[in-house]
Amino acid sequence: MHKLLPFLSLLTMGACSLPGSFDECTIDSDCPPFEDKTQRCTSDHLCAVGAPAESLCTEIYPPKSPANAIVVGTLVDSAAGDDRLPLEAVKLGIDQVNQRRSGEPPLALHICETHASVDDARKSMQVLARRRNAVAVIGPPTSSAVFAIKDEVIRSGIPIISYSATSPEISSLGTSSGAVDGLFYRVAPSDSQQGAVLAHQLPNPLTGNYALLFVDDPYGRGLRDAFIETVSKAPVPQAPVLTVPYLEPAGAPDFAGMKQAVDSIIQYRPSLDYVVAITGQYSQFIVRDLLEFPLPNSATYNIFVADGAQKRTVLALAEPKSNMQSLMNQHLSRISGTAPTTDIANVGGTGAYLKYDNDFKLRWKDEEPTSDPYAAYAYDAFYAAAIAIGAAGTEVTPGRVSQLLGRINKYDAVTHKCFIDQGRTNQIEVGMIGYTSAKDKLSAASGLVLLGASGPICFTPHGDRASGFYASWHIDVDVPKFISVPIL
Amino acid sequence: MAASFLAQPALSVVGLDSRAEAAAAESQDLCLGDALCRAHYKRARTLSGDGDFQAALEAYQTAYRRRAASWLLLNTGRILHKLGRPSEALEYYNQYKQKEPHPAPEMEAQLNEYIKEAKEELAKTPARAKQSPDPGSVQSRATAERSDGVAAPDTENKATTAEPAPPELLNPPQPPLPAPMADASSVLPRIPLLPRSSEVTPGRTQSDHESGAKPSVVRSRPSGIAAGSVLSALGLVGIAAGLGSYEQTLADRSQFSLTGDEFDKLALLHHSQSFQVASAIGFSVGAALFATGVGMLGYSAYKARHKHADRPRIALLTQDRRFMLGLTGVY
Repeated sequence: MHKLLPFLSLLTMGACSLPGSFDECTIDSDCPPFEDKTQRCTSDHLCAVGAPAESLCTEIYPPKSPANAIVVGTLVDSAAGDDRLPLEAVKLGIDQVNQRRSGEPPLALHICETHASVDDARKSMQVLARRRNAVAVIGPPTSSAVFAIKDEVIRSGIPIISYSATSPEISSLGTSSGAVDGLFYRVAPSDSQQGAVLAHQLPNPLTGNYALLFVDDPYGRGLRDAFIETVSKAPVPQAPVLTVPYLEPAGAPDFAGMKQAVDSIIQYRPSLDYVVAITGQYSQFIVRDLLEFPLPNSATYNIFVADGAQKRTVLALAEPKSNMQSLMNQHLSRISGTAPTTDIANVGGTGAYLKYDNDFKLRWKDEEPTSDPYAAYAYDAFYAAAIAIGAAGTEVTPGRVSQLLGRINKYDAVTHKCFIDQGRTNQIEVGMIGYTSAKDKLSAASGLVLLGASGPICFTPHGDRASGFYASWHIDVDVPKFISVPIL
Repeated sequence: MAASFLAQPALSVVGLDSRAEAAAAESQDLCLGDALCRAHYKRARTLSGDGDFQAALEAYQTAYRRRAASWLLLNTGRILHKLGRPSEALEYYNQYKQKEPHPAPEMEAQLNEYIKEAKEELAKTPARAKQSPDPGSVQSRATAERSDGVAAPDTENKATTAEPAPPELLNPPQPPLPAPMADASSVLPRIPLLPRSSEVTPGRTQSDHESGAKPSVVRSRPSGIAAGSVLSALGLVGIAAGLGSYEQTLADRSQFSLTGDEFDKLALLHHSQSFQVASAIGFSVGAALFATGVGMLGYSAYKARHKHADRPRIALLTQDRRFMLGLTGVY
C-alpha cells in the first residue's frame, strides 16, 4: 500500500488545486467596467461596482458601544450631499435616548455612506442588514437611494425612515404584487404636497412664460409631476412653455450637461420670464449657471426652486457684502424656494422644535441647525425609531419595530392632518424627557401622533407622512442665510 | 516440514536400502517419477496433514496439471470432501473411475467407501448437494465453527481417513506416511469458489509453486475481493461526487461575470467555496478508496494465483537422483 501513497498525495494535491483561485483582482485597475459602471477591487479580491463594502460603514456612534448594543443604521451622503447636520441631529438623539435606557442595551448608530451613488447606497444597506443586524435604518437622504435599496429592505424586513426622500413614487414602493406597507417610512412629506406649494409660488395671475427645469431622477420627476398636476388644474392653466430635464450621474457632476440644459432656457426665444427649477444634489452649479437668466423687470423673484436648492453650497455662492455690485448676489436675491419646514410656529404645542434647536446648539456648539431643515427631520426620524425600539422591550426585531412604527397613525382621512385627541392622550413627543413615556404609550396602544421638531407626525399605512409643514424661503445674501416663511 | 521435505532426497543419496524399493516404485509412477509433481504431491500431503485443505487442494490440482496421474483425482476428491464439497468430490471420484475402470481391489474398496461417504454427506445436506458449493455458506459455517468452538457437520470428517496414497504406495513398500488427519472443524478455512482443475488457468510456471511452505497470509481472499470491490465502487462514487462539486464550482464561477454586486459575488464565492472543499474531499477520499480497493483486488488476485510463492526461498529438488538447488518465489 505504501507504494500508493505518492499517487494518493498527487491526487489530493490535484483535487485541492482543481477549482483554482477565485481572485479577480489585486488593484482597482484589474477590474473591467460592468455595464458601463466602474468596478473596484475589494479586500476579497473581487471586482464589484461601487465602493468596497468594508469602506462604507466605518463609523459607529458612540465609538465604544458595547457588543449587546441595539444597532440602528443610518445612510448618509456626507461627501457630496453634505448630510453633516442631519447626522449630527441623529447623534444628538442617540446621546439623549441612551441616557434613558439604563438597564437596557444602549443604541449604537452604524453610519454608512451612500456617496451619492445608488450602488453604494444599496451596498451600505446590505452591510447594515447582513453584517450589522440593524433593526431600523435612518435614511437614506434621497429618493434615488430609497429606490436603490428597495429590494434589500423588502428582503431583510428592516424598516427605513427617510428624513428627506420626498418622491411621490415612494408611496407605492413594493413588489410586483403591490405596495409593501410598513417598511418605507419617511418623516419628510411627499412631493405630491410640495408640488402644489411650488406651483403656488408663481405669480397669480401669471404674466409671461416660464420654463421648467428638473433633475431627471425619482425626486425630480415626482416633484415635476406634482407641479404639473397642480398648474394644469388652475382656472387658467399655466403650463410651462419649455420643460428641460438634466441628469446627475453618480460619482461626479456632469457640468457640460447642466450648462447645456440651462443654456437652452437662457437662449429660448421669445425670452422667458420665469424659471421653475427642481434641482438635486448639485444645485449650486445650476444656480450658478442661471446667473445669465435675465433679472426680473418688476417682480422680486423670477426663479423659483424647490427644496433641493436649499443647501449650504448654494449659500456659498454669495459674494462678500462689500461687493455692492455683485451680480451673483443680485442673482441669488431673485431666487425664491419652497421646502418642508420645521415646527417653528410650535403648532404641536409642545415646543419640540425649540427644545431640539436648543439641544442641538448645546451639543454641536459651532453648528446652526436652521441652516438645514432636514436636520430636524433626521432628529424626528431617529426618535420614531428609538421610541419603537424602546416599545419593543426585549423583543427588538425589525419586524416588531416596523409594526410599532405603524401605530403612529392617527390622522384625518380627508385633510390628512394628524389628529390629536382632546386631552392629548394619543400624543407622544420627541426628546429625552418624553422618551420613556412615549415608548410606554407606543407599546400599549395604536392611533398615536408623534410631536416632532418638524411638527406632528403620523404615518399612512405604507409609511408616508400624512402631512407636513412647508415654507417659502429666500436668500439673505448679506449674512448669507436662508430666510424661511412658513406656509400655513 | 521443510526438513522432512529436504531429508528424503538426502536419505536417498546416502543410499539407505530400506527406502530403495519405495524410491523405485516412485520412479515408475507418472507423478512420483516427476520431481515437480512429486514435490507438489508431497506438499499436498503435508498441507493436508496440517489441516490446510484448501492449500492441499491446490497442490493436488497443480500436481495433476503437471502429471495427470489418475490417483491424484482420488486425492483431490478426498480433499474436496474434507472441504465440505462432497458433490465436487463425487465428480472427481467418477473421473477416477472413468480413467481407472479396473483399479486394484484395495483401491476400489476404498473408492467405494469414499463415494458412499460423499453420498451420505450429500444426503445430509441436500441444499448443499443440489448446488455447487457456496463460498459464503462455507465461510459462514467456518465462522460459526470458530466462534462457538463446536464442530459443524464437517466434524464427521474426523471419522474419515486421510486421502489415499498412490496405488504404488498402497502396497509395501509403504508410501510416506500421511500426516494424521486434522480436525476439520478447527481448520476449516474461509475458502473461495475454486475452479476445477481443468478450468484452472496457469498464471505462472509450475516451478513457481515449488515452495512447500505454509502460506503466511490471509485466507480470506473472497472477503478481500469483496471489500476491494466495495471500496473501489465507493471510490468511484467519491470521485464522481468530487467531479459534481467541481462542476458546481465552475458554474458558480461562470456567474461571477454576470453580476457586479459585491454581496452577490460574495454569496457565490462562499457557495462555491463549500463546493470547492467538497470537491477536494470527494476527489481525495474517492481516489484513496479507489486506489485502496484496486490494491486489495490486485492483492487478492495475486494471492489467489501465487498463494505460496510470495516469499522467495531456496528449494532443493531431486530428479533422477540428481540434485537441483533453486530459488523459488522470485520473478
